[in-house]
Amino acid sequence: MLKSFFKQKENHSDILIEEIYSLTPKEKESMIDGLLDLVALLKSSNEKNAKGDSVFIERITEVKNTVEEGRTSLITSSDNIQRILDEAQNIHSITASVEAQGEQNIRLVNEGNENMNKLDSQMDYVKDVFTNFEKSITEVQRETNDIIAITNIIAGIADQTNLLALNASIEAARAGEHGKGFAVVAAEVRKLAEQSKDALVNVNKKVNEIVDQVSVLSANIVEKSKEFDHTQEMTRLTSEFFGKIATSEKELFTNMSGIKHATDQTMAEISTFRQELEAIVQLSEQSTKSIDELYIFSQDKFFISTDMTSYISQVKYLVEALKNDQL
Amino acid sequence: MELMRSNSTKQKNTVEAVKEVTSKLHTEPSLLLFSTSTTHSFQEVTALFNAQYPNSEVVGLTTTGEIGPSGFLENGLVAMSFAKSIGQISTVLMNDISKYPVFSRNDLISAAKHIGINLNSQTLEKEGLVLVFPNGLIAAEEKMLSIVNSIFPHEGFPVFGATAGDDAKFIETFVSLNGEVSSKGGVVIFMKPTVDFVMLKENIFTSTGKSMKITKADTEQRIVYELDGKKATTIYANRLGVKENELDQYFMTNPLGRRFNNEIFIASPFQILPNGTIQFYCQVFQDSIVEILEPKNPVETLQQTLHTFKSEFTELEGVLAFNCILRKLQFQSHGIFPELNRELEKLPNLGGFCSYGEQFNKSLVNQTLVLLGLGKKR
Repeated sequence: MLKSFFKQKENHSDILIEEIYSLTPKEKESMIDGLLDLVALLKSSNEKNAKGDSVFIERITEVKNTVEEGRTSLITSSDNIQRILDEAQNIHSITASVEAQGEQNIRLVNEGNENMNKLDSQMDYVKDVFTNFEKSITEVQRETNDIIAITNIIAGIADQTNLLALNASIEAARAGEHGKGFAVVAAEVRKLAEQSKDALVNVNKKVNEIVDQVSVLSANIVEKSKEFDHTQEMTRLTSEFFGKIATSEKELFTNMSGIKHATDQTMAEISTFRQELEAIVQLSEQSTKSIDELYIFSQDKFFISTDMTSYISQVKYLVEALKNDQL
Repeated sequence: MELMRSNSTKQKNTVEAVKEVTSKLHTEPSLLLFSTSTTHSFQEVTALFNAQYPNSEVVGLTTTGEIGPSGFLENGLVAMSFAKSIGQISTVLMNDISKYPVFSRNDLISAAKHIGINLNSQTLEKEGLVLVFPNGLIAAEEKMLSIVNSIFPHEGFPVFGATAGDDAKFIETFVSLNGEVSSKGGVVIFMKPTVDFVMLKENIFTSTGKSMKITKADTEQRIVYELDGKKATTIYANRLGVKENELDQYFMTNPLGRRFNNEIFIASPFQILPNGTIQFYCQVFQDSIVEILEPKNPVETLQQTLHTFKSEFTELEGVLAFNCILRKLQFQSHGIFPELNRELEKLPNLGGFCSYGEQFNKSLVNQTLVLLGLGKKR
């Protein structure tokens, strides 16, 4: 039965209808039973297919959720890395600033040290001046003592002159009228001798004052010289401190350069890592797009299942109608 | 000249109602689409419209609430006229969508070809669109859709429509084409419009995050026997945290949804059958995961939807809107029709109805508002 229909390369409904009409009742019954079986099988297959679609969607949803979770984590990580990069950039700026400041400090410390050295040299020079001055003072003291000795000699001469003048006056008195003129001269000499002595006393007094003042000055200079030595010692110590500060600053500068270099390297590595993460995020976005396509595909399949259910239902009604010989 | 016009009335006298509603429509449109409450005799309304528009394609259906220029109305009559200049139109009445929609397949092919739709086009979305109006209560929407979609070898021909209703009596619905009335069939309107169009689907539900697996179901009969391997009503009520005997009170606010990526297809439970199984308004597949849904703020959602919808156009000629009966009942219980109507009345030449199911491209959807706008796209 239906041989000529199935032998046709193309479907011709008129041949099919003719074949169906020529079927014996038994053949018709067999055909209807076969069709009903096929409808049941189609229905069962369609249900299995729909179940498969449901499982497919369930799995896609699981995969999508996993991808989404992963993507969210990646984005969070990427954001965190960006924050680390920002912080590293901040550290980089701070270290660069500190490094520049360190460089400036080293320069200032060196300048300070140079100034200290100049000050030390200047103090050496001033100290020489002080030493020479002290020597001059000592010389002045010595010269002043000589003056005092000379004035003492002159004072002795004045005393002797006074004594001689006194003797002359006595001799003049003895000489009477004749000695009167000489007495006047002797008195004048005596007067001059006393005036000389008075002048010498004044000179002596002034010289002593000078000696005292020079002694005070000398003592002051000695004292100041000692203070000067102390100051100079302090200057040398300060200079040494400047040296230590310069060494420390250089060390700090080197360390800062090290930190800056390490930060740069870290930043470069983190940036690379972030780029890699971004690439993974993009890949996961691509996966999400693929999953979305799968969803569209599964949605289409869902509609096909709906259509299939409708078609099978209609075929079932038609076969039943054929069986009952009425629509 | 306006390409679309719409009008509504709550006039109880059928003759007066038709007279009133047609007073603002085109005198000889290409297509006249009416939706009526069952308070009017459908046969009479059909006859009256066909008598008035003998040279037009006249399509009608019974509803469960209407949508007119001022928004939602009850026990009313709404009609829309489409001017001839809107484009070519051809219609088919599929006589039996419950058992033999395939018998209408050749008529569908002829009707589509008649207005120049290239069925084999690789860019079907540019070829036009089809409006479908199946009868309700015969579980036939998917069957009708499967045959309508089957005439296109490729995917993507826009399908838009809604299921007829009967004012929530759940007895019998009617559709009619050019005077012929059917309670087992469905009307198909092919359009090759001269203007642009945009279709949009509004979902006012969001997932509660609670999901279940359908472990036993009869897809064709839209019945779910078991969820997670146990009696469907027990698990549904348990997941929802309500008493099993009160579950049906939550169907409206907590339907189920099948998720495809970020899109949720709502499957609304229709009723609990005496054997404790649940019958749905659309096909449900065994082994699929479904999520329990909960409503978002309907007014805010509508505002957002209409903003998105209107921003698609530079000129909007008119809008067809079909709203699910369950949404309508939900809005009714919350008393928010005035707020919703304030938004809807902003749409020009609005017409439509509340339905027992909405058709959007390849799928039958539930608890949804679907909008079709014609005009000039941005």
